[in-house]
Amino acid sequence: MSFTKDKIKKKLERAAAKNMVRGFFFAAIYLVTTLIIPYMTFSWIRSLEVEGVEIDIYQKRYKAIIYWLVAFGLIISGTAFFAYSSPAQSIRRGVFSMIQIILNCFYLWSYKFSGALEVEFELIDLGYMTMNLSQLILLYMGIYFLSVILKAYDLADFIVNRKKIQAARVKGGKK
Amino acid sequence: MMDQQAERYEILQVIADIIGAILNFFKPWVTPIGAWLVSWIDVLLGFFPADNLTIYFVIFGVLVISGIIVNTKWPGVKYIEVYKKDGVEDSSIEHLDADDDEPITEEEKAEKTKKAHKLFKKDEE
Repeated sequence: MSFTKDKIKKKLERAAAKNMVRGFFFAAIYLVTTLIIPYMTFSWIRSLEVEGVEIDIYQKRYKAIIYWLVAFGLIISGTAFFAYSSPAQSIRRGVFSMIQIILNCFYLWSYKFSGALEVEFELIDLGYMTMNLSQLILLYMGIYFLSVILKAYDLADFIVNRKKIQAARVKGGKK
Repeated sequence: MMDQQAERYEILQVIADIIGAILNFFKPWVTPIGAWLVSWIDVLLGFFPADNLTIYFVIFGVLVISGIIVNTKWPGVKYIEVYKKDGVEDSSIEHLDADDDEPITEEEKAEKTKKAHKLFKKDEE
């Protein structure tokens, strides 16, 4: 293999390695924020005590919440890996970023679906307490929908201006 | 000490009021969009398996592995392919000859850019 070809090979390998490190980094961030932190929060709420009185979230509902947290947390993290390990402004990044936003909507709604937004706490010897956050989630869903439109616009931009983006990459001498 | 704490709470209250006002302002438009979104999400969520986490672990694994494969094969340094497409592989080697880490002069950079643009123009035709 000639010196220059060897150089090209190394360059490609370096670009791939950089992409993958970025992908793993963002996948880890999403794993922590969509899975680990919510999991710990709900586990903590489950055994919460208010003024010495235990708050006992229903076991069945807790299981459903954790199930959907893990399910969507995993898919979102996987998609984040794919999206962020793709080169900037590439079509595949555009596609996966859009999928990720849509999955975020599912994730957010899964809180409602699993009953996490209308949690009924049982205050032993005192009665019940209900927490309803559905309206707040509707607002967030609306914001996410607007994000989907933005991502769709980005994707269209990446497709239409593909040649220009590639030329800009050459100009910068980077991927 | 108590005054400082009270001041801090006051600032937090102001921030909370501002955020609340912004959210309330957008609520009439954004909430119906959210409601529409959840109407079809509810239907789609029905297709997701609700009693088996294995499938989600498999999807996660597939996404990561396919991401690794795709990035190894196509790391995003497209200009090499473009050069090869035109059958002028030597030009691509020439273009890549200068390492990114090595400083190049503005003239060299302009020359390389010109060459690349010319090639893309040719490619578009």
